Amino acid sequence: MTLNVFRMIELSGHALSAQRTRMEVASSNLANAHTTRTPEGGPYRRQDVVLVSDGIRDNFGSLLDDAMDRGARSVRVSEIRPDPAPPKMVYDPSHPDANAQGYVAYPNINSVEEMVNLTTIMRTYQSNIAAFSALQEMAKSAINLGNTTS
Amino acid sequence: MNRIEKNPFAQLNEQKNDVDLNASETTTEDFSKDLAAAIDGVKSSLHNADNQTTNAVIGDGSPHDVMLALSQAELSFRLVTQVRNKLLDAYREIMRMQL
Repeated sequence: MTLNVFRMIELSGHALSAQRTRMEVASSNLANAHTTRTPEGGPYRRQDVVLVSDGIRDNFGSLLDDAMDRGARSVRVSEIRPDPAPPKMVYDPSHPDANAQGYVAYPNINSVEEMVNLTTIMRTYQSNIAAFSALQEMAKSAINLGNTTS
Repeated sequence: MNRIEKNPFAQLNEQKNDVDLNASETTTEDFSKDLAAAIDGVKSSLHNADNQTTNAVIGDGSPHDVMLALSQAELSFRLVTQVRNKLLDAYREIMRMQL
């Protein structure tokens, strides 16, 4: 590991940004839990965030570490893809988007599941902040190392 | 006349001192360059923190990016301040020497 403290701060930043994106997508899923119309047509599809671990390659040392699979790895959002699960069909003939049989296609979103996701995302965000704070404390005490003797 | 009186070892020593002086001069020059580069780095990270804050205020960017940029700037500033303190301490220590 040849990362300096500033690269580690950037790594924490990427992790926080990734969790923030997950939070945005989860909020959008919750907001659209009953949306039956979208510009693409049909009901809203639940979105999923796919994260991918990303090597840090900013100098020769980290490049070598990355090539040898032993460097610190950052994270980034690879893609946001729709959930392939079929929409929920609810019988409601008075709804303007009901089909010929009187069924309305509602988004495939389970609000309990989304709430659990939100909690997990929040905890992950907090743990990343804790990691960053620990790193910052370490750097500060290292900088103050010389002060103890004088 | 002076030349002859001087002992050859003293001359050698003088030459050696000259060489040493040159060496120390080049190293101090390098160090001052390093220090200037470090200060430039601090300046750019302070600038970055400033930009991030402006972005956050006008509604772009996320709060954690601002805080990370700020703490990065703070850490590098502390580091450079500490180096400067150490340098000043060393200078004062030398000035305090009895002649």
